[in-house]
Amino acid sequence: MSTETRTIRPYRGLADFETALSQSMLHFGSDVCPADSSIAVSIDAHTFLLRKVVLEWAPEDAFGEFVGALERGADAVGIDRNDLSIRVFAKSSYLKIVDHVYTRKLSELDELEPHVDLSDPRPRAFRAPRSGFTVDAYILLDRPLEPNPLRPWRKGTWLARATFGVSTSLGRALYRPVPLTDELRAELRLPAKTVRFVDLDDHDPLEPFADQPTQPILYVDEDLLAELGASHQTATNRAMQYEMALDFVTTILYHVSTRADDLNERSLADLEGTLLGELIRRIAGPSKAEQQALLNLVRSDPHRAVAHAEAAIDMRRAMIDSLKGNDS
Amino acid sequence: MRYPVLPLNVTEQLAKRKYDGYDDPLEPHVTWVGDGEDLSLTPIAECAQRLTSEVAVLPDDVDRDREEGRAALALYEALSHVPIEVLDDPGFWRFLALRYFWDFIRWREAKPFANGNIGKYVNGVSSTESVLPRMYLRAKALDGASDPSLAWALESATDFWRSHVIRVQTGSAPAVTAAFARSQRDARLGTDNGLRELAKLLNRSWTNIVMHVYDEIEAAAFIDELRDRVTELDQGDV
Repeated sequence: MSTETRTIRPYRGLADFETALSQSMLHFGSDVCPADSSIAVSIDAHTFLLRKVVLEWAPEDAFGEFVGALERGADAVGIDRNDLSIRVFAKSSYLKIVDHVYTRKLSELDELEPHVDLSDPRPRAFRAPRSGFTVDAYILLDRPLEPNPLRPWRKGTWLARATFGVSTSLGRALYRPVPLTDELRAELRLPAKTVRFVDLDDHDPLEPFADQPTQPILYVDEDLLAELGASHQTATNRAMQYEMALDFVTTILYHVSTRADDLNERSLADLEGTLLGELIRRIAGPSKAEQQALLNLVRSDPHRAVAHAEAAIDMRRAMIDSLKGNDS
Repeated sequence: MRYPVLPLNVTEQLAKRKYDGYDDPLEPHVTWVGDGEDLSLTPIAECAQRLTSEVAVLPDDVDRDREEGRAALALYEALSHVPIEVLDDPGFWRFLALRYFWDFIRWREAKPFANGNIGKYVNGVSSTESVLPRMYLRAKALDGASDPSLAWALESATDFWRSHVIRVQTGSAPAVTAAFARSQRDARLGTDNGLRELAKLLNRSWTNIVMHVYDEIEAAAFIDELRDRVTELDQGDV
């Protein structure tokens, strides 16, 4: 487990750059992802490969201000505009793809368009429908400068960044349902009438999903699982599946809450691509502020985090529909 | 493009039985997914056949990681016609593992297989653990670099490639990967004798620096600088 201290970015005069990029938005077809957020889209592979990926630097009426902020930012940090550029990278996790998809020097801002089509030609990172992709837009230092306190000087140092994440319904399931047989109950040392059991199976919810050889397993009584598979349109079935999903989430949240040191040393950004990070995103939604609030709850009051999960799943509706027999 | 996939649970069960000597047919479990033309599997099958016959005659104590590096380049070339959306599907890697590369993978991971640890090397769940995708990533980590044969230039370098290259951002930057591998080739640091510290410094540097804009010369200068820092840290400890 990493015990690294977090790297501090000791530069001054970056506020204009940060404000400018924070307004940018990524369009994936008709779906929109604000800066420093991620969205999950329900999509088939064919459509995924056809959708345009467009970066909008700022709303149309604010584009002039966006350009102005970049110009002021270069002055504030004391670096020649010719030595700075906007660069955009597209990434996809399973195949560890990083494609450099856009560059514009800050000395050429008069040629900057409010929208940039990043998908023409389509880079490799946008061809991975199961993994989805991340887009990172940076203000980057293009050449080495004389070292100077509180000013970036090493080539490649980023002065501001906006990140956009797009995951898909084709992606990896968070857990694998496995029929729970009598033999497995014995092997797992479970009571004879155990109906469900979450087994992390060496999976670490705080480490990136893509680097781990195992997925968590949700064991479900084999007869029950067969019934669920046979009657998947009923309200009762739906409620039971939601209940099991909530069991899974609860197990993970309690598991990580017992690892206070590991949890506390990780920021929200550190958890990107991990099981916990994915659960937080699905429960809290795209807002980083909401996600941070939920992470804080996982650290301090995991039982309250579970309540948020229950609300996100809309357990109430599922239970009422089940009792009323509303099969839709 | 239509391509074959195998489901996860079935793959792990079949792999265990295969290791135990059963030759269950694969075809009932294979699904072809996607639209359009069928993916040509011939170059991949030929590559597997070649690699399998090459390792079959190697002495038992050969450096298997190094052979994996050499084979990685051949596999990468054999997959050059396969669209990214196919390679992004773990089910496709599972199919390749059991249909064509079983003997090679069993040779490469003979020790864990003997301990019953088989699934993770064939299931495609982790692209950095399963043998075929991790080989692909190793070759891809040097795609465009001046010397792709660096993929097998280091002796007994399993930890270097898996922990310090393909699992971290370095593996997505061929110039940095090449500089790092070349630096290890020319003046090797032991895992507990500088390499871990160097890798930690490099990983931490990615937090502030986008090294994808470095060429090999710039990357080499940066790696040298970090090596000097490791040496200073080491001397400071004494």
